[in-house]
Amino acid sequence: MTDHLDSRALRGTDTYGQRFMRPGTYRYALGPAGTGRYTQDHPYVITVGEGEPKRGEMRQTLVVVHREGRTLVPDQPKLSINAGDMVMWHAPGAGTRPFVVVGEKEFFTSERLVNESGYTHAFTSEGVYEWADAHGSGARGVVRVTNPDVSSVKGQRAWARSQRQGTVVMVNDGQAEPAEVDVVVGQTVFFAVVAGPGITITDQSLLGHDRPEKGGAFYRKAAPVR
Amino acid sequence: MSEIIAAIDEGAANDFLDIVVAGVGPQSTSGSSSLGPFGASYSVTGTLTNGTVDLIPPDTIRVADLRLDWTATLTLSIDLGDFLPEIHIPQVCVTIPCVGKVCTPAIDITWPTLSVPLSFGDFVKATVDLGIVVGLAGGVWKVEGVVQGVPSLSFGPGTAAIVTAIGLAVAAAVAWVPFIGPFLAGLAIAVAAAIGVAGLTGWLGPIISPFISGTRFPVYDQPEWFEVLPSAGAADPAVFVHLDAIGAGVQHNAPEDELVLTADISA
Repeated sequence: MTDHLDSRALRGTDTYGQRFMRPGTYRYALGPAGTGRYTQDHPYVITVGEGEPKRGEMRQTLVVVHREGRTLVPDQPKLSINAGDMVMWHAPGAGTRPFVVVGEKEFFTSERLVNESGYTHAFTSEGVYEWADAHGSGARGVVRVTNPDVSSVKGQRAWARSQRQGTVVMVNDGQAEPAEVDVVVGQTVFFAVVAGPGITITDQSLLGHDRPEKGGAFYRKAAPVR
Repeated sequence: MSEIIAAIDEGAANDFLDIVVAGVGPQSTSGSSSLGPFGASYSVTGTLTNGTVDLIPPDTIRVADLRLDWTATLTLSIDLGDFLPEIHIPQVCVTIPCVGKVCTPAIDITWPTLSVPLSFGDFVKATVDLGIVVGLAGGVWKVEGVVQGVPSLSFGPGTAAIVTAIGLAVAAAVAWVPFIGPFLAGLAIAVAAAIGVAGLTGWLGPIISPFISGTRFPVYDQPEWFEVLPSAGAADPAVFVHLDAIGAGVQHNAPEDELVLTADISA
């Protein structure tokens, strides 16, 4: 199993999405995952216009992250959206290190998925991926990934079709629904966080001996942010 | 008529060859070239093990089934994109309750170029004719059997298995590459097919042929001043004769074919 399922470190097969429900200016930074070298400055801006979000009228904006020297840069450093819209970050470049999106405001970070946010991952290797919230909310689940049969043209076409089908896992207050899903290599799972204290979607094998237990030392219940 | 004549028959020559071959020792070479569609940097070591001597008058020593055990360590440079189809994960859209339609971007997967280290070995056999070369160099007579020409190598039955093993080894070495899972079995076959038995032997032949074709088997070494009687004291020095000429050849002396050495001497 060679895949990296970890919302704390976004890679080329991942995206992080955040909805902005209230008007305002939201500054953020991009940085390499796990280094903390992104907290001093928040050079990029999302401006959310006035108005109430309208049901069924959410628009989505894709921000493509690329590397300039040692710096991660979005293709739209300043972005204007409407209240209720979603922004999704993605770094397709093979040379881009795993990264994080960190907003000035606590609800807005890929390191802790709070309300109205999400993480997608296209699985690249077969295996059984037991994921959990590294912050110990108790959210957990399983993604079983199998290899498709591509030995025939028919099989290859079926695989190509299957890649267009996404699987949604809703995470609400520490509960994943469905908790277990089955996909094939190349398929994408959308982890949509409805509400919660700020969670991660992290392969338990990456958590090692610090596997979180609800109520344990890792559990840090975040204050409501909105 | 020569003053000294020495001869060995084929049986003795075979025993002699075993000793000589053991004395040759391992030979090595390294370099880089192409193995099928792959770049390959290699290090190859070969060791002669045995063969069967056939003495053929007038001047040929034939060694049949001269065996060379070889091992190769190489690093293959493989561009997976040459073997695997392009992968494009399409845009995926889902409808999330209370949110709406959410879509991911399409993702292009670029296959990497990898270096794969491999080790394998087998043996080859060759039948070679040795010419007999006699020379005096630095006061020493030397009689050597020198391999004539480039022999045709007969690769062992394991060669096909090696090609298959290379395919499997490459597949195992790249198993960590994202998205390769569905293609691993096919990749092993594709790599083996791209190299092929003919490709492996065609690559290996020129590399290890010099281990045999350049070989000189020492038959006889002797200083031109030959001590026939050792010193028996201060008043009785050693007695030497001078080897004026050395001759060597294969003769039929019924019922045997023999390797005959002759020497003309003077005091």
